Amino acid sequence: MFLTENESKLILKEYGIDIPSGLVVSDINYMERAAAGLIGPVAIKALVASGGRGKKNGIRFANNPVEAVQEGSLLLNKELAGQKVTAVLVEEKITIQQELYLGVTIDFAKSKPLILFCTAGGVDIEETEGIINKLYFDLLKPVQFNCLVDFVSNSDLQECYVKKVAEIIDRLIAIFCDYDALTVEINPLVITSKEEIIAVDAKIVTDDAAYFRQKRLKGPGVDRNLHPLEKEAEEAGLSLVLLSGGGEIGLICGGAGLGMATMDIIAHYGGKTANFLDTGGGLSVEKMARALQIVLQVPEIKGILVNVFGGINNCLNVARGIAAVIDDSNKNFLRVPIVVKMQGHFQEEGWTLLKQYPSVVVIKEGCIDDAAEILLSLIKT
Amino acid sequence: MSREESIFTMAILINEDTAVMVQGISGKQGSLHAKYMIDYGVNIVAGVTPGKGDSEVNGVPVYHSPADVLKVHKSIDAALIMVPASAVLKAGREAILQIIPLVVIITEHVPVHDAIKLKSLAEEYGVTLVGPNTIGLISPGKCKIGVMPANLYSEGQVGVISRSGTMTHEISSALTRNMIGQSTCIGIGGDSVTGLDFTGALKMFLADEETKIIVLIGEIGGFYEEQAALYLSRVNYPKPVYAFIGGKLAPRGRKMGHAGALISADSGTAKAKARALSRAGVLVKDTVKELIESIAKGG
Repeated sequence: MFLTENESKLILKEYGIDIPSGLVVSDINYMERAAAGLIGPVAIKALVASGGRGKKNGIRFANNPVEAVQEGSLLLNKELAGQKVTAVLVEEKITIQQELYLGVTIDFAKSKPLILFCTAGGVDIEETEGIINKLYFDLLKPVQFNCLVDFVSNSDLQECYVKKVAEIIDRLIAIFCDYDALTVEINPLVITSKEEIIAVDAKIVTDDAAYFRQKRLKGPGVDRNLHPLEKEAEEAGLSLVLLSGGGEIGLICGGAGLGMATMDIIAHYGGKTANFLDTGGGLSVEKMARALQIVLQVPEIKGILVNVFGGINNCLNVARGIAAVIDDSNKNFLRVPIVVKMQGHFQEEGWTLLKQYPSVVVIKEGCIDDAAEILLSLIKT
Repeated sequence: MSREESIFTMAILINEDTAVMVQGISGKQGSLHAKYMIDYGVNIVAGVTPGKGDSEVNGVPVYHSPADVLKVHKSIDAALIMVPASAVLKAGREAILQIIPLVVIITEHVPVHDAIKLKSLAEEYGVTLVGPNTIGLISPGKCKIGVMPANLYSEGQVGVISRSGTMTHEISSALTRNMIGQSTCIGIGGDSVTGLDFTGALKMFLADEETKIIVLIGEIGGFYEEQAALYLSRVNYPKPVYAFIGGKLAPRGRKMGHAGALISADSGTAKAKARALSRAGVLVKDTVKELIESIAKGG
């Protein structure tokens, strides 16, 4: 889940890291008052889960409350990076002496967490010209504070700030662990003209799989950018991705790898897939029926390919789910051929059940290539 | 068995004698798949369900913890974990601390931090961790530790290593239909953090006399294919390696099903992975049919 800048900063504050004074405004009518309550010029930042807001004019500045209303209006309720800006963060503008980069994240090439520190922050970390110092650590062993001090000292950061930055890293590691974070990042961590150290921007991304033990968070990130059909699928526990460019084949697969391979092989034989759908494991009759109902709503499909194995799933449940939808449907449905390639546990029972449905072609032996070729020939006739 | 002995039997990880402990055996999935495994002839010696010690499932004695199992049964070769995601860290840690040489985690949606901890712990204790989010592994005709439908697999000389569970069924069943059997098929799992990876499995297959050909089944996301390509380009790998890499049409930035299948800024596309493997001498094929035909011809 991507926490907004404001949500992230409140967590930093809770852990003793200084953040700018500020507040969230979602109604432009409150902007003037909000800006007036802060001392001096303000920064107005769109609260969207999007990197590089500065480049997209998602961060604006105002010298007084009236300007704040003007600047705020350019952001509130407008689109930014494909998202609607429903709220902005209004905060005191910080006078920057130096911008640092600090992050705790995971190196998936090594399956290890690490600390990243750079004295040239304020830009995309991939684009910085400064040296990025890295320190890998072990989730099973607490990081010794003197190690953090040594790590920070090993940079060109002024000596007088070393201990304070090491303390901030210590707090970031605590946040990273406490929140099951994939990333905790402060960019920029600012040394102000008054020599204070303030987190001017913050980003926390948490692991949705850990939501069961992260009840403080609002909920596993429901991607706000999903198409309604994709949202419907997500609510049913299915993973649906609508593919661009039209497509005549609706896909239902048991397994993401199988789904992706099926899409690729369909293309190899000249077909076009309209959607990816992974049923996942633990497939019940109801869930299979939902999957079919949803895929039937994918626009412009001329045929459906169901490609599943009864491993952790069960072929009879798959057949029952399909049967339930056909039994329930009106005449229109029967015009779309369905090829069901299904093998594994309870395959005989599943095949037998589907035999009675003329619009269903069952493949008992045969690979993805065979299924793709058969469905494409059915669609063409 | 001693650590040295276990290293030798670990060449293909499992065989007819492998003594298995099933954690989560009392659950719906645990009991069902334990039964399938018993039907297959697997030696399930014990089960673990906290709070249900002193019970029995399908004739298998159930204990409160792996430690309790080891007090009674002096030798456990493999642990199969089918507990809910929230219980995996505890179950995995307990199995690893008992130094059970092979720990297989079927469960999906395991938190990343937990997977990282288990992987680190397994490395520290010299335990082979497979998964999480996997179908498990099978040496057809000998042993299966997992949920795969055994009728699709047959005994032979092809070693299969896969990130996708159902693609393991797809390719193995296609091989079986074409009278090409498999030595061991290992689902390494679909998550971004897993125990065994392609490189680790390739090394094990290298040492195994029964395995003459290897098939890698990869997909978008992560670094395992690139790391395997690096390994293969450095050693003179004496056995032919084939690969199928899925996700050529997967759109960037969208998670395709499981956690590991995501093309991000720093992790590769299917095309890039295929290219890296090709350059390392791997025979990368675009469809299941092409893959099977190549193997049948190439031998």
